[in-house]
Amino acid sequence: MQQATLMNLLPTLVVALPLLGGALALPLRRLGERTRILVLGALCAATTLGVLALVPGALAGEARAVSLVHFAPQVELYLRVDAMGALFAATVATLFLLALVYSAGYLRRDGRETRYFAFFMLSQGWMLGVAFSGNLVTLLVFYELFSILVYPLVVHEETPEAIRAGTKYIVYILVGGSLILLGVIFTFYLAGERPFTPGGILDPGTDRTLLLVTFWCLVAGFGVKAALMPLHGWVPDVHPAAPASFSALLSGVMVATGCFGILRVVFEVFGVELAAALGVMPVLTGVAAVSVLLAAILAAGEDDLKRRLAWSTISQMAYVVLAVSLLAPHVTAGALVHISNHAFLKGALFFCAGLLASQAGIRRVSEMAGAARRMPVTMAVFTIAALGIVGVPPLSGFISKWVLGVGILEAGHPLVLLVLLGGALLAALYLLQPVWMAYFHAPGATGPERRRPEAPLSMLIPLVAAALISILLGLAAAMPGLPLSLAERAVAAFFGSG
Amino acid sequence: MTHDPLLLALVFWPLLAALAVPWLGRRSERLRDGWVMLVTGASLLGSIVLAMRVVAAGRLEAGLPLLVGRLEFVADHFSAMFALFSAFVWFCATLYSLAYMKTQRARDRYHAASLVVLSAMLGVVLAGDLVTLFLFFETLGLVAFLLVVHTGTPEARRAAIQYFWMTILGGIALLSGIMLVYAMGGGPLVPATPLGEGHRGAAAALLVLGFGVKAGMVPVHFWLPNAHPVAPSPASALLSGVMIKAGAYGIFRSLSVLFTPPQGTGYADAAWAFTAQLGLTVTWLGIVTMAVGVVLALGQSNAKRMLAYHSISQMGFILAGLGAGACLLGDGAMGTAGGLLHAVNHALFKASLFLGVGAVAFRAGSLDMYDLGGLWRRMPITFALMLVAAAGITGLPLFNGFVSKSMIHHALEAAYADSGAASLRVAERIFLLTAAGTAASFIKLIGLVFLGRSKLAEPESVREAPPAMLVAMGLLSVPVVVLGLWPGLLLEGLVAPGLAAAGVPPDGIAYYLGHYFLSAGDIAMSLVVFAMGGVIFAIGMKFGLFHLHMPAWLSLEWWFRRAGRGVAAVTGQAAAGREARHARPGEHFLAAVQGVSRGYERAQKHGGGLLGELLLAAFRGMTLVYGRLQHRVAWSLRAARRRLLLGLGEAGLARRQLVESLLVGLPGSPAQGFLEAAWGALEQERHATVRAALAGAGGPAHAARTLEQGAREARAEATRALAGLMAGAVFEARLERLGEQARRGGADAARAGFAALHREFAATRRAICEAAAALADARSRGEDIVRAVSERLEPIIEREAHALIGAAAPPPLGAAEPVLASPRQARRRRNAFGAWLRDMARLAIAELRQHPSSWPHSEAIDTEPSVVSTRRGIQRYARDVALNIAAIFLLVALFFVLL
Repeated sequence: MQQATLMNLLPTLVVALPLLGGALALPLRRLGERTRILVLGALCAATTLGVLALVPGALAGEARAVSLVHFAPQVELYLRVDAMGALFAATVATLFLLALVYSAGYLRRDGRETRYFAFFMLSQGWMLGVAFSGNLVTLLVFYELFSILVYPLVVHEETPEAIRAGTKYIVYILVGGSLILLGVIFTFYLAGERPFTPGGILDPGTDRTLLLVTFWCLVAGFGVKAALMPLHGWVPDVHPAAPASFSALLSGVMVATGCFGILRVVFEVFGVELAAALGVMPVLTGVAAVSVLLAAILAAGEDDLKRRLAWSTISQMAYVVLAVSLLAPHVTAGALVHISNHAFLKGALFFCAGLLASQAGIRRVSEMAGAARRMPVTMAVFTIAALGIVGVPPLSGFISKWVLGVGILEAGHPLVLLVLLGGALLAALYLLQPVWMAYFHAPGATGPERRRPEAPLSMLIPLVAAALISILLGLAAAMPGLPLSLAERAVAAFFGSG
Repeated sequence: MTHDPLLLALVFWPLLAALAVPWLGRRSERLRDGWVMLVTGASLLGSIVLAMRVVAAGRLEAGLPLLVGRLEFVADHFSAMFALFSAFVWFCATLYSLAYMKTQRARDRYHAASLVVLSAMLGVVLAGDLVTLFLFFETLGLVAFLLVVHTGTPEARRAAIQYFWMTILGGIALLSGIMLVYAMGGGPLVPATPLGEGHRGAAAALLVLGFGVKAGMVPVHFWLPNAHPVAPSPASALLSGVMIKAGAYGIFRSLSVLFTPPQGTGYADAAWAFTAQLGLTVTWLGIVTMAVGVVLALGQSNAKRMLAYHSISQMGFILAGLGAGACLLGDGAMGTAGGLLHAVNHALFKASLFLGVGAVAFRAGSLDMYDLGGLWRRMPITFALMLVAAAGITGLPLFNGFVSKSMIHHALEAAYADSGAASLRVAERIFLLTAAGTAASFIKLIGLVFLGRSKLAEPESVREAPPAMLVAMGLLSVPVVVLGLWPGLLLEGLVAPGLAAAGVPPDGIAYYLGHYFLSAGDIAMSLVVFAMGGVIFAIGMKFGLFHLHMPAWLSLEWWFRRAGRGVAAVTGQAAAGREARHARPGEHFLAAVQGVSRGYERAQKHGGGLLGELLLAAFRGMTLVYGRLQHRVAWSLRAARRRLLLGLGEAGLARRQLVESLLVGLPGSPAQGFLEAAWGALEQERHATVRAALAGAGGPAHAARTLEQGAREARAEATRALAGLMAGAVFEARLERLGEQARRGGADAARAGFAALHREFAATRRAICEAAAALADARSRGEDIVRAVSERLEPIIEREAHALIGAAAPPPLGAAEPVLASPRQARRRRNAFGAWLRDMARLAIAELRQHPSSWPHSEAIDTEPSVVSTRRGIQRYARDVALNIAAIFLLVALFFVLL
């Protein structure tokens, strides 16, 4: 019987606080815009602090589990804090905080922002629930809730293209959700109700066909969200249509949720041995490799900036799936670190894209000539984030590429290294071209340097903060408590030594 | 191993100082200039102190807990040497730039970038493991981009793009190599860690390639002649003088540390064989590089471009020395020392040469050698200093180049003697030819620029270079001479102890200094080479051989550019493709071989172009197929959805019809519908007739107020009764007739019949009104008037029957079709419940307002159209519902019966 100390309540608290914030978004409006933002911001910050407080415990390997609701003998909602969940939750919470501050400045006050803030906070709660879910049912519940309830955020602008994108999104998500549900049902049939266990919960002796079906259902279902080609179709349409503050979250953590699901499935439902014995990993490797390279090529051909960043997300998140499919310890640590690093880098890029669109009207890369003169801070952050994704030291992207690369070589797949570096080369092609255009391209008929501030502070602060976090995650990568240490702890658990 | 924070200070101090440069520059240029000199001077002092400490303590270490674990810094003798000359050249170049950059813009950016690059360079040479090395190496490459693109001219931008991509590609190769090394268990640079088996060859190749890009090694050298000339002259000096040495340093460390077995391993071990093989490869790369560099250098007219090609060539010397040293294993001290010393020497004289050429351009305004001349009179000090530097690079005795070149030459000879391979003899010959070519090239430079007749427009306006520039060049020239006279300062001070510490017996150095240095043989060889150079120069100038150019496709750059254009086209980056296409136009063809070269061109266009086109087509096809597939899937999905919606719509319609028919009854035939509508119209006509009769009765009553109230009422009552009777009879007759018509001829006949009847309405109404008025009195008196009524009625009915029979004929022109209220319209009126309520209310109020004596009877209310249609609707509804209920009862009864 666990004592009801604060630490034991913390997992429930960090899931519940944002939900409370979401519920309060409408009533708080009568207190005024500023008050509402401050209250929501305080709730978000409290959530972030709570999640960060859970990190040391997760790092030490303490088991912290909370049972939420017991629906039926077989269906229990159950939260558990482990290293991988803590890593993902910390990323989610921090990025949501930055995005909230950005939204405060970005959204036009046209009456729809109440809806936005409400669903924004709600989705943070669901996503933290996904991070801390302890069994498949909890994962399914929170995942579905969160996937479907971000629809109002996707169609926030209510332009025809936003609605079309939202419809496409919902169709894809429902299909994926059905596949996940099917997979969960199969798992229940095969293994009964068991929480996630690092060695897997399925019995290797069961019928291979059933195992394969379960695997592909789950992976394909999560793969829709993880934007694994060819299930990626919603990403390039939804990202430009959603408001920039939410696109940052979409690319940063939402797509990563699908990868998170795949990680959970491969390591804690199937387990390393069973997954290797099934023989499905080479297929997954091939699919992920194609995703990385093809999405990067298509990114380089896009002119719309947000679409280009969306394709880049598909490519980068395929790294995670690629790493998972190799079933080796170091490369999986690289995958986890990459989720975290990519979130902040891509978040910073989308914040910049939002600023460029709203302050300077720049939506396409071909319009970016001379942008650095008009928006120096934005372009500086863009450059840092772009270099980070390319993998230039000492930024965080280099850390994830390094760990992935060494891990790939240690796992004995030197050809996969080519995919990794090819993706990095293509990332240089499609991300540094806008930087070149902004700094060194003749700006044409733009006016002289403007003296007025380039953007409200509430939008610049998250931008700069994301860049600083990326630099910090790169420079101080090996510090305990930061993603690399959490990733290694998680990997130790998965591969049996912890 | 002593821990010394001086390393950290050396590396990070310029980086931190660079942060202050923009701020200072905004306040005052002089302040910023002073700050920059202070920083570089401090770095120089720091590196001198470092060298002294290293000599005293052996090896220094430092570390910072950053990145993946720890950033390791190590200073041994070689690091100290590299740091020393880097800081020195930087100091001189920065001093020079104070005067030079006055004509350039964005000076803050230049100085800040310069300091960051200095910091990165020191980080490279002081790095203790490969990750640290990579960090600073990449920073070096990427920040130096700012120096290359500084002037912002289109040429500079093209060169910068090319430089950038080569840096990225080299970085990727380097990173793969480093990852391989780590995967094999290695990592720290000093001391040597044994590497496991595995992809040693691949790792070595990748590392050499990655470092070779920075070092200007063939085949990845072609960015150098584009990037170095377009930078401002002090930056060119830094790029050529110091930065490319970072690549050489990396190759040196790979050879001597990573791929050398640990100390104590017997020389017969297989691991040493790998080292020897690698050394041989690097030697050959060096030989090819030096040859290619010098041949291309001879053909240049732009002074800086020529110097850039010579950088490539001299790097070849360094690589040949390092390679020979590695492949000689235990006897390799002379080769390695020669290579390292040449790195130092080259930094000194190449920087000086670039600064000198820059000074000439600064004053005379041109970089083209063929446009200058006779400047020795106007710029004597520059001329003298350039002579010193040129003497250094051509290897004349008493100058530093002589020492390093002889050492390398001896190492090559030793390697040939050791292995007996004929290829090494060829290598040695190429070495001598290259040296001769270098001499020829610099005779050409000095001769064309400083000697001879001036070809300038205004030679008198050229002044001597500013003092800052002269001091900088002078400072650089001092070690050129000093090291030429006393090479032991470096060789025995830093290189020998370093080699000893690394486990390589340094006797070769002492042997060299004792036997070969300034020996007759070496001096003679040097002078012979110089003479050969002179001959080459003379022949070349006489026959214009220096204007020869190779066809474009022979250069690797051309192939790389095509590949780049292909990638850009595949990914749709039209802008990038355009930039690449406008890069340097093809070079000219010699007049005497124009036919052959045209043939080459055609072959290249078809051959090379074909390959490129095939690849392009393959890539484009792939993306096209994918795009089309995606489009088709989306299209068919959309079509399917449209059909689904249509089907759903139709299903919905059918369902609605079903429900309606269940509620309201099946819609009947058109004839039935028409009859219903006609019924309503006829009913209305009947009521209207009664109303008209009543109005007629009441009319004269108004006029004749003499009549009593009661008499008037009785008369009105009688009129109404009579009119109602007659109208009713007419109504029944009409309905029956219409029904017959409909039964006989369908809806059209009924319609025609109704139209005919409609034409009779007015006459009938008049007749009935008259009859009613006439017989009203009789009726009110109580007489029996039935016969009178039927007498009046029959002609009316007959007349109408006749009219109906003639209805087969088309109606006369001009007669409008009577508009019937269709059942749907009736339903619509019925549905307008609100309007109906309004009518009722209006009627009620109007009736209530009238005098109670003139209240019409309730039948008048009944005759309002909305009321009539409502009543009709209710009746129809009741009938239909009754029908449905009956049907249901029947079905249930059947069901029970059957069950």
